[in-house]
Amino acid sequence: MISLALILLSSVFFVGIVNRTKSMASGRIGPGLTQHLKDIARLLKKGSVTSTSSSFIFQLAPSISFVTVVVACLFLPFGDQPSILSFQYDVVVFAYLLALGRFCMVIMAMDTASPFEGMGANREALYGMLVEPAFFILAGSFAVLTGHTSLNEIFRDMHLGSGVSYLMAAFAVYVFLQIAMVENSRLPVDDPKTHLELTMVHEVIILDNSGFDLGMILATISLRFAMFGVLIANFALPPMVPLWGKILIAIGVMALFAVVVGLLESFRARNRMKRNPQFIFTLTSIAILVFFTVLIITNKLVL
Amino acid sequence: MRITFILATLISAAMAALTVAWSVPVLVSGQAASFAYGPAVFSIDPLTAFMVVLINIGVLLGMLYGISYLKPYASKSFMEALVHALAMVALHGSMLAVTMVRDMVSLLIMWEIMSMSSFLLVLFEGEKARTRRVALSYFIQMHVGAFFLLLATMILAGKTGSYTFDAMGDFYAHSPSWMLFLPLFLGFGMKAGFLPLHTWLPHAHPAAPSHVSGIMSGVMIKLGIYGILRTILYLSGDQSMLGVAILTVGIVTGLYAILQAIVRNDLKRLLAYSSVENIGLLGISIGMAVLGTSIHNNVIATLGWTATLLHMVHHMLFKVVLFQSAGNIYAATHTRNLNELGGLMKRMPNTVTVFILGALAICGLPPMNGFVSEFLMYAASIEGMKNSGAYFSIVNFFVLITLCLIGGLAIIAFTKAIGVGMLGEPRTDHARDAVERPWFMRLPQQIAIGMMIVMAVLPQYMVAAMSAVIRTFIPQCDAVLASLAPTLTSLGIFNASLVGAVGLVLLLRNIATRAAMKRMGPTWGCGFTAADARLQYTSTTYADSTVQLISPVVRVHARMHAFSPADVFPHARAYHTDVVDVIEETMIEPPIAGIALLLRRLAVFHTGSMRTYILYAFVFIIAIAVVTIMGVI
Repeated sequence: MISLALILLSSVFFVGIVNRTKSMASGRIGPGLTQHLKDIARLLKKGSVTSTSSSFIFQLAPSISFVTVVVACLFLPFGDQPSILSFQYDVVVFAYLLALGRFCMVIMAMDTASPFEGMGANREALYGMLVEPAFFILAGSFAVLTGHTSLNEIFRDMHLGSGVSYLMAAFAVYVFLQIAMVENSRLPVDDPKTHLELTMVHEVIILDNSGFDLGMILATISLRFAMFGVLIANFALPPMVPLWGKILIAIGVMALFAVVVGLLESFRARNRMKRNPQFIFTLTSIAILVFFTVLIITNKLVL
Repeated sequence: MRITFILATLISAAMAALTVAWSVPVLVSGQAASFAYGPAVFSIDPLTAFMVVLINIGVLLGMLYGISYLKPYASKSFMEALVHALAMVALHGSMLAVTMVRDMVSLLIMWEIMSMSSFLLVLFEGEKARTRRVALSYFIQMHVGAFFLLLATMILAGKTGSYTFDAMGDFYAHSPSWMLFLPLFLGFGMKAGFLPLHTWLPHAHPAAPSHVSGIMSGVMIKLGIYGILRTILYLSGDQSMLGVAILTVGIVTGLYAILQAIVRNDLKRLLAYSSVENIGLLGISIGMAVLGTSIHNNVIATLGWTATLLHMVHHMLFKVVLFQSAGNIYAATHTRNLNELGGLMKRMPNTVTVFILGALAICGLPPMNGFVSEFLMYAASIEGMKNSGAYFSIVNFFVLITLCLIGGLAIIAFTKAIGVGMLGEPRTDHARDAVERPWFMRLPQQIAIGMMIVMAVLPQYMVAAMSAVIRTFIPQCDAVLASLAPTLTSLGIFNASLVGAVGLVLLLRNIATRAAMKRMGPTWGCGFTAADARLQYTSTTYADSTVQLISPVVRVHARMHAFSPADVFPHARAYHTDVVDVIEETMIEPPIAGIALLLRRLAVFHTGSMRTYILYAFVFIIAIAVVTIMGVI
């Protein structure tokens, strides 16, 4: 319950903090923290133009994508506070919900018949496929570490004891941070502020969406960012701290996450499209390191 | 034409009713029933009963579809129609019999009838030279498979003096198990389509009419899996090496086949490769189950067997749906080339919607049934990482990576098929003039989709109905199944509520946008000025970024004339690409070409002149006389 509340809260401010950091880094004052929310609210009220080439898939996909992220949020616990939905092996469900959202957005883009959107759709499907192993390796590693298979139990029992496990958690947080960047189509894989369709991934997919659907897509992006924020915050919650302390820590971690994203986007250039797969493979290799560290910690692999 | 086929369907329906009536009590009670006919013993145990139900559903859905699919072929002669209908019934009967026989000789006979009848079915459009060539190649490859089974029979009879399956247990107990298992795996694996024995599949499925390709891909290749499962039942002792071997074959098959599916432009060939991929997934879960059994981990073993059996049923259903929808599209457009399709959603909304649901299921995405069986495979691999030593953790780590790679690649393959082939604007007049097929032609797919939805929402009852089958593989499965039941129930509720949540959001969206102005307009102009719908992203370009990543595994041959400095003014250019199956090109074709060359060399003896043949006979008689006189024989 708390995680959902936190996700909702941070989704309100997350994109605002990122944008504010970016504008401060480039010497501007920038928009207010809730400007993003106002944009979404305005879009939700606006009328829409739909492509004559498209079918009902185009109307349906943004809603499905929104629902997948909302439902995925329901699986996230908050430290030892249980999540709303939970059953064994729900890590798989979590990842597959995001994949379902991606599937729908991809065919939605193809539905407009625009070659630009086909290109973006293709890249989205490819990067999504490439980033999945890193997520699953981490999920599997933590299942091995804690002996549990649901997100709820994994985060409840994840006690980081020794120096090695802090290192491992640091790696995992780094990989989750980058997965969040890839899944949300941010730098260095994709630049949301780019102005040329040929270099876009996510922005070109939603080129033809307008009005309510576009507002819903923007809301989905903020929610998904906040969801990864809570996922990362979960690594930083020591069990002995009281609940209000944990909530403060989580808010701090997520604010930090947003500032880091903003700074990354200010000082980093987008990869060349051809380099993106290599970049994502690096994440997988770091995840593999985490897996082997876990094998050593759990005394399965004796060196 | 259709009357004969309708009669055949009725005969098959009667056969199905009879065998299901025998099988259901077996599934419920878990007690095998047998009956003898002469020296052959037929027996229905839970595994057979499971296969009988699977075969009957798949074949009947296919034949129901065939009735309307065959309508345009009314010009076929009575004999052709009769042969087709009889072959269909023979295929159905022989598949049922294969699962019931309990000795190798009867199995070989039934196996042969199965191969021959499916060969006749592939040959349906035999007036096309390509179909004849493909059918012949299918016929030969099936007999290579049958040769391995014959070899296994000889090894079995040579060691134990008996042809019965029970003798396999003796054999495995006293001899190295690979000696018998390897030829059996090769023989059955050829039918199933494990790498590198898969090469018949991508040719035979597109060449066969769609109702037949649905049955072949959904049902017949499962008989190969059945053979492997039946063989595994007689294994005993530590089989962890065997488990890892099957697992490895499964991993390689799954990854290779889905990569091939991504680059294919022929819709039915894409589906055929996706069948091979699913056989790979089945190989992975069988391998995990065997591994789990051999390290005495009931959780892994039970999850593995449940995933295997469930995925067999699921794949049968969604492959029937996908092949039949592809058949509808072919019947409406007369092309299977994705680059000539497009815009079908507006012209054939029912068919395309059904195809999309089938594609969601085959990608293993919620809320369809494919998700349930892939979920169990993931569960088995996570359990394997968690509950065993470093070696098995690492093996299962590879399984986990493979499963999510296959899942992601399947999404690329099927978004390509849907996005390029069915959405957007039509690329050619074939696609522009397409009209929706009549309801009777769409009915079998809708029945199958209905079954899939039931299985997605109520997976716990599916697993409970199969518990007798799972128990034949792993007798100690009850505790695990009991602890799995709540998870499956939640998964079913999750699937249903996901659909509910989408419905709710759509309802809210409709209420919220009721007052808003809605207009239709052209797609964003830059990049799509509607000069020509062929400007759309094509199947080839959609696959290109993946091809670049994996280029040695997937090879695309491009033929073009490069521009030279002299080409100042543009003129017409041609650019062709062909995709080749690397394994077929490097491992299958060279030896066949070698044999063909050798036979051609040997043909110098075949002069066609009577005098030389008399000379051969004369030389032969003299040679016989000489060896006899010298006392050699």
